Amino acid sequence: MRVLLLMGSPREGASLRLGRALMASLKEQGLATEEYYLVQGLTQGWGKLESAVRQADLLILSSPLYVDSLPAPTIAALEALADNAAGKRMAAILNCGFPEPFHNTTALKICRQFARRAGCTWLGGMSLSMGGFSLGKGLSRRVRISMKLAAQALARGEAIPDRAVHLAARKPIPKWLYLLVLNGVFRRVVRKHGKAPIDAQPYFH
Amino acid sequence: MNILILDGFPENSSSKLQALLLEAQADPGVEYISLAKTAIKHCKGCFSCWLITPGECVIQDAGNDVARKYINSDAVILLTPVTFGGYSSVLKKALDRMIPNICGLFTEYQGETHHVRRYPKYPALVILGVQNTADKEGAEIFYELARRNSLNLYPTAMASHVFSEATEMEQLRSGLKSALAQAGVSL
Ligand SMILES: Cc1cc2nc3c(=O)[nH]c(=O)nc-3n(C[C@H](O)[C@H](O)[C@H](O)COP(=O)(O)O)c2cc1C
Repeated sequence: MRVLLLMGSPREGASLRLGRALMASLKEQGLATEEYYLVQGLTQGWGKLESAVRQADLLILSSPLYVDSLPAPTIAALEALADNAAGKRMAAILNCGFPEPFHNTTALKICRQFARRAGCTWLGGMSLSMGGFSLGKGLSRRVRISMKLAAQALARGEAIPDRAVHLAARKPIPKWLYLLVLNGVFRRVVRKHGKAPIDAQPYFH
Repeated sequence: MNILILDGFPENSSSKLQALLLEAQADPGVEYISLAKTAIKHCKGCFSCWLITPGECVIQDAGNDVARKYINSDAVILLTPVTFGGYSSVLKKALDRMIPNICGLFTEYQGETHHVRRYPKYPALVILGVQNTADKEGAEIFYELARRNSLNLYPTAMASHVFSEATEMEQLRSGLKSALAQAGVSL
């Protein structure tokens, strides 16, 4: 079985780390792996992605949440694949910056709706919150275990088990602490490197 | 009333609703932007707009102009084909570039984490989707997405509606009118 990682972020951040973690676990399960950065399609055209998809059995989308849904380049890729992915299996990992994983729920439904439209078998999705912060320096044990559990199921052609979903969604620190830490970091960065105050209103006439 | 219409239909597709909204262009308070014909680079996720040049995107292109127009409008109308229950990539490339208009700091809003407002006032938001073939689930996801967006973008009023392309023109016209009225917008 061949698996293709669809990299949904324009940068090398949390989505890449998560996607690669799942791919590493899938490799351990004996799957052949490949990855494609969806933003490349905007300049290359979608031909290369389409042929990579053709050769794959399983598609894994790993994407950040952008304004409650998928980033524009990711949507563009799915638009291009809507008639070119029939018969594939598909699963998704979404990660968002807010501390509550439920912010990803609508975007996960959009992924599932794509799968339905494209004729893919939907094998479920995982939601992570707190962005790269929640992954830890290496990759926290919680995340590694959830990826392993997901990989074992996906390799058998089965849906991602609830336990993997719950583990992935677990908050490593309480919400109030995350807000306190991140707001402090943001304020400090802007004070040091910002070219305007954090609450500047440059667009208001 | 200053109204900004962001048309997210791809270049090679069209809708009756588009035609209806294009009629409104004659009004001097209305600006109609066809996003398919507007070169807007995708957000790179660098967060400069929150941390380095607060309120401004470092990509200098029409994406900045649209964000500037957005915040200076009384109402913004988003128009898109319902795409897997969500927005088209054409509309989304503009929407992703809208985050400079909110502040990076986190706050609690309606029991959830959201961002602090950057501006004292945000435009009313009318989010219109069009389906070529009826799909109840897709429409439900669309309404859910519109509602989620309204929590993040702080519109003074919000309305969303999914139209069927098969609907007769007159019925479409009255449907549009009532969706706009729901958000206090008249064209
Ligand atoms: C344009 C843009 C929009 C975003 N919208 C949301 C959002 O609606 N909700 C949320 O929780 N996080 C949002 N985020 C935060 C990202 O989802 C988060 O930082 C994610 O971890 C980035 O993943 P990456 O490192 O793979 O790019 C947004 C980020 C950007 C750049």
